[in-house]
Amino acid sequence: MLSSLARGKAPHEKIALEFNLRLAGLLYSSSKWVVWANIFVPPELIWGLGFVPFYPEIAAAVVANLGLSSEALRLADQSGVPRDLCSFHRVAMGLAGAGFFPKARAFVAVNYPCWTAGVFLAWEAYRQNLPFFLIDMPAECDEDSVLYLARQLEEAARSLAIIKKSRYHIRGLREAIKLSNEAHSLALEAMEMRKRIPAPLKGSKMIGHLGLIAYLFGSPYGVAYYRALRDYIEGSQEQKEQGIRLYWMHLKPFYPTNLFELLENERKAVIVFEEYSSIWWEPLREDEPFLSLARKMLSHPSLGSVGRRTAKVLADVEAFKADGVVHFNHWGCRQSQGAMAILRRKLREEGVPLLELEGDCIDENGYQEGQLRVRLEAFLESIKEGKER
Amino acid sequence: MKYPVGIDVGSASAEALILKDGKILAYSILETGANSRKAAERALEEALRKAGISRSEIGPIVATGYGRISVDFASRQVTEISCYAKGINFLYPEVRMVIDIGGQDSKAILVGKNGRVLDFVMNDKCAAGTGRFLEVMAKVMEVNVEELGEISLRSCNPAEISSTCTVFAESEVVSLIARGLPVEDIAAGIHKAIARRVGAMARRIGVTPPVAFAGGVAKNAGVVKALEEELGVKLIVPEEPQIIGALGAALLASESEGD
Repeated sequence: MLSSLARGKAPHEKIALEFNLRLAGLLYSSSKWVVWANIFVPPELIWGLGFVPFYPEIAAAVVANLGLSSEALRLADQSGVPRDLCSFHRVAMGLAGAGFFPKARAFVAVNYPCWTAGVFLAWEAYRQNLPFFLIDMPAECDEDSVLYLARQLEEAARSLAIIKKSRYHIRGLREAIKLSNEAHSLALEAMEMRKRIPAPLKGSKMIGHLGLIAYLFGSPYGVAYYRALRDYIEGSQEQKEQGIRLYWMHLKPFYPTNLFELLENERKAVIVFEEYSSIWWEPLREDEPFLSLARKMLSHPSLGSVGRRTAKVLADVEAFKADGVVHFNHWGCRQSQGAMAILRRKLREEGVPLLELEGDCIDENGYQEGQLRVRLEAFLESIKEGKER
Repeated sequence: MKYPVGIDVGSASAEALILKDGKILAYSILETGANSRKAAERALEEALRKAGISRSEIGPIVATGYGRISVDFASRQVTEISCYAKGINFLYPEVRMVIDIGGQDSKAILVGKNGRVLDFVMNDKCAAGTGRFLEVMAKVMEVNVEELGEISLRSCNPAEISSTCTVFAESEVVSLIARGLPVEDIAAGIHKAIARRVGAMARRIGVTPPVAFAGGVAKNAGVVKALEEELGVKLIVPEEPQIIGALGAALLASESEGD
């Protein structure tokens, strides 16, 4: 079955597929210890302690991709989940409540920048009567914050080991960090190669891998995936005709749409890089696992002042020679949109065209292709005209 | 010599415009109806009739508007954003922002020199702040939508309509009628609600005078007044605000003729 599913896929895509199937097997195996976490909890911590991470937000994207989000949202509605919450979490709440998710042993949540995820996981821990660890994430990335966060990570690690009734030892964590660093180095090479003109990859496919990337660091699959990706990029040009180069921010609709067909095939624009494909952190240190994981978490460009995110976008726009930026404004997502006015102003000051596409990544009911089409086309027309003058 | 043509197929109306030597030769404005392609055909035929020329005499056609894709006889399709910027720049080169309130959407466009789009913003997926909003309210008030503007100008005390949702605003208007509020105050309140909505949208990209107001709703003097008060600027309203998209499309067609 695997070989038929993998037909026509690039080597890194085959690894991604294999990983997803293996992950599903691990998550639903009764012998494995699964920790539910939100997207900002580093996977190295969970893999390193011998648990299997499960990110419900990513499961929501998978469900949307399978065209099942409406059903999951209906389940959430029926159980009284407010409809103005982010649909990633509504889908997760609907499916968790209906018992579709793998059996959890514990829950770990980071409370910033996405607070809803933390509340959802806390509720699930309460409902399932299981341990919950809340990691309080400071906004600043100074040494005090690093120490504060590292202490919490270490405490959570010790507590998780107790739950597993195993002796806590650091060896597994160091191994996960070693694997993470190997993947990190390969991912940096791949990122560097994506600066090429013409762009080697179709960015729309890479946005589809963002959820996967959240799982990979600290797992042997991360190394395999990024090695295959780097090798693939070497001789690749997935999109033959390339016009306007775009930098993609935040996420995308995960249900099937013609959005990227329009962008890439009809209009010949190419997504040269995605905000969340970025490798933003320094290599981790095996001798200081908690401190370096804390530094990784705190240096995320989406944390703290919007100036960090803005500076990162501008640097990426220059490095990847993007003609414009598209930000997908997912409804209900406070952390990505809260400071859009500042981001918009700053990009305009720097002469970088920005398009904000309004929509929902998960709930396909409000999707209106015509409205997105006119915005995208007008944006590309204005960039094209600007380049021609 | 071939005459360049622009066709704008919107949700409520379709316009065709023919240029001659860089000037408007003739145009037509018709209701779109259920079939965008047929509306485009009818609008073109009407414009040709007014111009007194035959179809064989026309050159490139640029189609715009939400129904542009269905105009398969056009040389190319361009969004209404680009066409409005182009059209308004042709008539008023000094204009830096154009606001368009159409049948099913509204938009604000920052226009650079030569009619280039610098930035734009459109309303989201609801009828608030569009011509459809006005139609619904006029129906509730049992007046013609065309009369709404004149009626509202008599008001000294516009009613407060707090909801921006068309469905909820409709209920509010029903209750205002039931309370016996003067019809002119309700009409002015409706226009104020639209102006607030559109004003907030325009401010997202920065209101930059001189500001022009185009689209079918710009014919409503009540909305013009309310929007001027909301934005704190005097609006430039073209003599025929409904043809700006078709004009921009025809100008783009004439540019492609020269390619």
